[in-house]
Amino acid sequence: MTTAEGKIQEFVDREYEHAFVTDIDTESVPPGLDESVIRLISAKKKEPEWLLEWRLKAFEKWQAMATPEWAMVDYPPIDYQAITYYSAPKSKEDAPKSLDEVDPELLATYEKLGIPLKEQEALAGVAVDAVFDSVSVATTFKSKLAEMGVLFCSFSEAVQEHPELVQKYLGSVVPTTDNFYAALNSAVFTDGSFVYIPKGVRCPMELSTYFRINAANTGQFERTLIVADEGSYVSYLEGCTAPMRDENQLHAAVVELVALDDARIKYSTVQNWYPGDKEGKGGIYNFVTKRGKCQGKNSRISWTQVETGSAITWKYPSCLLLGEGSVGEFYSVALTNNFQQADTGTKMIHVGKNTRSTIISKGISAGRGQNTYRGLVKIQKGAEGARNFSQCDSLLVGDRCGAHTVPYIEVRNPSAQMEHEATTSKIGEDQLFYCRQRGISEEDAVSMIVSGFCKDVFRELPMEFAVEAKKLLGVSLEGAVG
Amino acid sequence: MSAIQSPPENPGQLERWVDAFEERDAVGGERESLRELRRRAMRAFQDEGFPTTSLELWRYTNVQSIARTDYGLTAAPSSLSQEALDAISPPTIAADAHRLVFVDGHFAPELSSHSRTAWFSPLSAAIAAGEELDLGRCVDPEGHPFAALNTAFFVDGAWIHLAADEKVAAPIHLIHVTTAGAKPRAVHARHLIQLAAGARATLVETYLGQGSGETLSTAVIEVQLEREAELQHVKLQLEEENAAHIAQGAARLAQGARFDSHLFSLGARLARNAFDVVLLGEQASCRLAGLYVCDGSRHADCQTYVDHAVPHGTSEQHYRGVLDGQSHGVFNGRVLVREDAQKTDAQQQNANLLLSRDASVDTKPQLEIYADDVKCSHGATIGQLDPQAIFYLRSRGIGEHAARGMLTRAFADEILDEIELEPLRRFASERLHSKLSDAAASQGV
Repeated sequence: MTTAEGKIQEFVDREYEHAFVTDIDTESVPPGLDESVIRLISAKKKEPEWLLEWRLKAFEKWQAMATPEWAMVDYPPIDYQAITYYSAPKSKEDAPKSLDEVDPELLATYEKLGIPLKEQEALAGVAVDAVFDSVSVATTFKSKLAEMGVLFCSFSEAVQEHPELVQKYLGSVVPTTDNFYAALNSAVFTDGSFVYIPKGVRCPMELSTYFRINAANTGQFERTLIVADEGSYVSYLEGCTAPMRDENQLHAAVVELVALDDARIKYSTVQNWYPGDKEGKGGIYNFVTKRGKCQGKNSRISWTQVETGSAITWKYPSCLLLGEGSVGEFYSVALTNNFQQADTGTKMIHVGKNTRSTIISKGISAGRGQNTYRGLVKIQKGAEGARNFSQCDSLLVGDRCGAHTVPYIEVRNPSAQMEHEATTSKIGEDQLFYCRQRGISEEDAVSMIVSGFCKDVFRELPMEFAVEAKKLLGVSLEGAVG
Repeated sequence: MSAIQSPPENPGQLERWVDAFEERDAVGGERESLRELRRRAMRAFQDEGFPTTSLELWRYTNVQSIARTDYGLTAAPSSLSQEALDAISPPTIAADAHRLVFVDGHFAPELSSHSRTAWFSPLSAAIAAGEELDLGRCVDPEGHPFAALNTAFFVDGAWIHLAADEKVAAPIHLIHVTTAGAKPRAVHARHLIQLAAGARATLVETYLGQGSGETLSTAVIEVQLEREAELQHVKLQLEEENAAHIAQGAARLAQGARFDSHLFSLGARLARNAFDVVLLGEQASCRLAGLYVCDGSRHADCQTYVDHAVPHGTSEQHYRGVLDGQSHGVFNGRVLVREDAQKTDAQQQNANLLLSRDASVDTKPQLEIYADDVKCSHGATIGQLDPQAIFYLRSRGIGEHAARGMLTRAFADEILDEIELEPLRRFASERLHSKLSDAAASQGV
């Protein structure tokens, strides 16, 4: 086992790969939050009056709200007055028209992250809307998408160019008063992505946003809104990284999905924010509200997430199943190592008849990581014939970590059928022995077992992401058994 | 979403209890340690008030109807005749059973059939004799508002203390009757069960009601099992329709101790049965099983908490609910495996059967695990009777009602069949089946 231990050390010591800071001029407002900051953000973004009012209303509500404390995460109170709420690369004033005009430093940043925009444009066929701190810097493939009538742009742009769509759907899934962080986001969000897929259109490529927090002390508050009109389909990819800093940074995003009749939205996330160092210093506080509304009949929303980063993850991508026969899915792999804490899960609210939902959650805890699955399955009175299947498995690596399962199941209709099961296990000595006996190295064996454990989730990821996710897990875990 | 605590409700509701307590406290006559425990409990209750649904542990159980009721807190116990008792209580559960009867929270020797034993004493007698009782160790009044009330107000109960290797073969049957009158009555039952190393006993608790008026009974049972001690525990909770029953049990298990508990929650308008088990010694094991059957607008809440504090512990939980009418069933099970509690084996199962359109269930089976070499699993299911199974039975000439009844009973029998005492099983089974056939008959097809 000594080799294994050596490898543990090697992997545990592995530095965060995306820990560089990009040195570019940014334009920021001083830290602190009051009405004037919100007015300033709104003015900078040349927002219409209704949006400013909407923000101010959210801010008013937020001030009266308390931080949620029910999650099994532990962190010192956040000083919301010490955060900078707006930070934008200076070159924004004359916004780039194409990639060639984008600050080469920025592009280099993305290159380091492994998402060279140009290359992707040329090869991968993925349209990337890259969000750098708070302002969307470049959107690729727009013209191609425009031909099909697909709108894919930064949120600010959508506010300017498609205000009717934004006004109609903004806050329709996550109301401003939904929770503390959603209210904060509603008040101060700076940018994000907007997607609209018209009737009957199958989006020809996978849409993707890459989030990155750069400036120190900057909270990132982005807002994503995806609307899939009748009979349309879209697959959306989201990836996140942040540079390495000693202090904790707050990330409070809101994602809203709306699926109309027969529409389908597939939303995949690979979250690799800086998790803090081995002592648990620094790292991102990832407090995110994600919710999809299956509004139309036979609509379908799938959330797939691979959460390997962040010091604290607090997110519950949910589905509101309103339309008859609508389907909600949640596939999750959450990994916590060192002092990382994750309290994540989903909510499936069955309102319409014959609605179905599936929850597959795989939690992996290592080091001193704490990993909690918290989920709600609610079957309302009118949800005749609703069906839910939940499976939450935990894998523990090491004896100083924790794995917790907190499922809430509320059933108000007798014709509903729901099943929940959960198991907790570790990588067995005998499993390892079996593999080694067949000439598989310890490291490969662990990787194989973990991949097998997560298979049901990885299968749901688009190809490019599945590879990245596997690699990420590998980095954090391989050899962590001794 | 937000965790804002609502302030304690109308303070007037608490005052009644506080005044009654002070009156009682002024009388004195108890050991100082007990008086201090009672005062601490009352302070805890005053601070916390009646629980509201904003508290996680009370999320699905609303006790505002209890908070609002003006209970007679110091009423003297009614007298109950043997005939009246026989009419409601289970038949003798064993020929040689030790039958200990409590009426409105007071020991009733004339109704009890206990032969004088060294291991039993009514708590009231032990308190009067100045015994130092280890009360409040298993159930902390803080954080348990109804247990706090119980601690502050209890008058009597059973103190059962078995010496090392003492084995009581005959079942010990504690029967509690709460009588209802014109004025709502609150009654507090308190039991302290201490089994020394290697001791063994079977304990049956039965809670009954007489009359149809409003009653509240709080019940607290504290169980201490030393090395290799074994306790079989059965609780039949069968009160009348206007009763509220809020119980908190707790057991502490030393090395190799075994605790088996079966709960049958069949009565009362509002019933909550909570049981906490702490495994403090290696190789200790426990099994908590329960069946809650509700019709009408009954509300039954089962709460469990198993704390694996040391390695090599085993725990099993198996709870089943049958819900009819507009009833509401709640299961909240929690398993905690502490750091270093390796080789723990913890299983948790909850299954629910919804028989009517308006019945509802909330279940929350939780695992909280801080050790890696453990086997833990839990599962929960909620559904209605399998239409294919009904079809199968009907295709064999069995009527729809009979088929439904048969399947429902089979569902409940999984728990019922675990009772080892034959007469007790028969009694519980009859109670249950009459309830279930009412339920099955009420099914509109």
